[in-house]
Amino acid sequence: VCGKLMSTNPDVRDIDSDHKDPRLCSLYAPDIYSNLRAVEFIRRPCSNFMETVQRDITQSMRGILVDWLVEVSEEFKLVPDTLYLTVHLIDLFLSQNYIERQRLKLLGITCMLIASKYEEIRAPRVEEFCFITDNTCPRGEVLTMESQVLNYLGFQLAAPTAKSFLRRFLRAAQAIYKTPSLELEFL
Amino acid sequence: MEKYKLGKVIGIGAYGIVHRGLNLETNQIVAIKRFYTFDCKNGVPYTTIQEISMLIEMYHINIVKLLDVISNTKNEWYIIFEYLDLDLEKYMVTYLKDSMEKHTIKYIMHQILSGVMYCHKHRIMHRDLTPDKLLIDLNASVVKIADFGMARAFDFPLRAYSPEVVTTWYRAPEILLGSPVYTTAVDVWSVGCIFAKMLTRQNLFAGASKNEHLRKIFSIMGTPNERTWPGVTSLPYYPAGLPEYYPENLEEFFPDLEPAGVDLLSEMLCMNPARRISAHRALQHAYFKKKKRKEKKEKKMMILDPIEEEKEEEDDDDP
Repeated sequence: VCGKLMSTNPDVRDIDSDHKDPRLCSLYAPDIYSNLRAVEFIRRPCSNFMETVQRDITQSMRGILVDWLVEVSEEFKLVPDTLYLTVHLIDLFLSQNYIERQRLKLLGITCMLIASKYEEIRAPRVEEFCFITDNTCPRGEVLTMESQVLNYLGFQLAAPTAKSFLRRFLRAAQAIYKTPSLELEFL
Repeated sequence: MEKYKLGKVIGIGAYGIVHRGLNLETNQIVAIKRFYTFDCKNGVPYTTIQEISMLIEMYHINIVKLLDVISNTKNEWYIIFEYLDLDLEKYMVTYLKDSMEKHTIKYIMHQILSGVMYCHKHRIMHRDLTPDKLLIDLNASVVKIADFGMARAFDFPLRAYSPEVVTTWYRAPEILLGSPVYTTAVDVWSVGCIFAKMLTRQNLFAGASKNEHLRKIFSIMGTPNERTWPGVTSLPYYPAGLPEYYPENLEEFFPDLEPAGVDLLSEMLCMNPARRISAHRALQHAYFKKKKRKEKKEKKMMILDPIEEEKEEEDDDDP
């Protein structure tokens, strides 16, 4: 919708007018983004799950978990999309499932396993994820948790993350797309 | 799983077994993919994760419907799909016997492209379109795209994805040449190859090896150069020392195909992915435009009936 509205206003540059670079998918971009907006709306984590659902874990524990997952993703050289999806899956799960603090790390590493299988060309193996937790999360537990998370999410993994939209907003802002990682640092 | 009854095995895939099944509540015949996660050392296979997460989002007449995903405490998984007993490969052998079936081919092409456009608008590349991934429902005269095991969702601008996709004969030149980044255009190339195969019941490009295959493509579509496809010569597998082929006239390969069809085919098989027609534009191509009375008189097609001609235009839009 956004794309179509813009193109009718002469003062606004149509960001989907570049048909030369096929990687921008200009033809489908307006449709794709309006679909993403719709999906974002229905598949959004609860904003107050820490107060309403969780009793054992806290905001700062989630923070520590995410910081650690950032390091793990660097260690495994995962693409940023995987990391963003991981955090999204964790938040979705925590929105409705009570979890003890001892199992938070297990949830985190499992969501990263699922996100890598979804996003990466070559996802690290389960053993590698277990190893990076110093084997505090054994393989059996990770696989059981994987089934639990997938079941809860009903395999609805195709959720847009902040990064999906940032790319488009940067383009709309006519930013020079030379150092995209710099802007992403601020997320 | 109480809802379903497992029937005979209809296929064995890389991960698990496919059964025919019956939904006991509705009496609907279904296909059931079954696997154990403990069989696969790595948990739920990534192909399954990608396939289900994509199919679950898609509601389109030309895309196979995922009905249910069930797992039990023993880490057994059942994925329930709608059941279709025929694929395009078999359909071509059994029903498309002579080139009289022009209408049927057009009708099938329209449906494939509608399904592909829907995928692309939902940022999904199928990446493995071949005739045996296209299922046919004879009763309803519907073609459905199936098997999203190779599909993936993309983001913008597109980044590098797995280089080993699409069965060789339907693989787009940019993949064969090792381009790290490819686009939705790879699916359009595959559909072009399927189009050609329906017309002659033969693969237009069929090389025994990757290099042989590339040579075949070049020999018909012309050897690409920096003028026709900027950047092509620096792609990793751009073969050195190949003869400079000139593009052949596709009409000679498809003497029975109307000129608009030849034009559409050549646009779908455009070597340069940036210039290749999109599924969206292909659906608006003259080939699919309403025909004058003349064609109405043509022999009625076998089994598959053409869409009513007035309806063609409406189908172009996203439902």
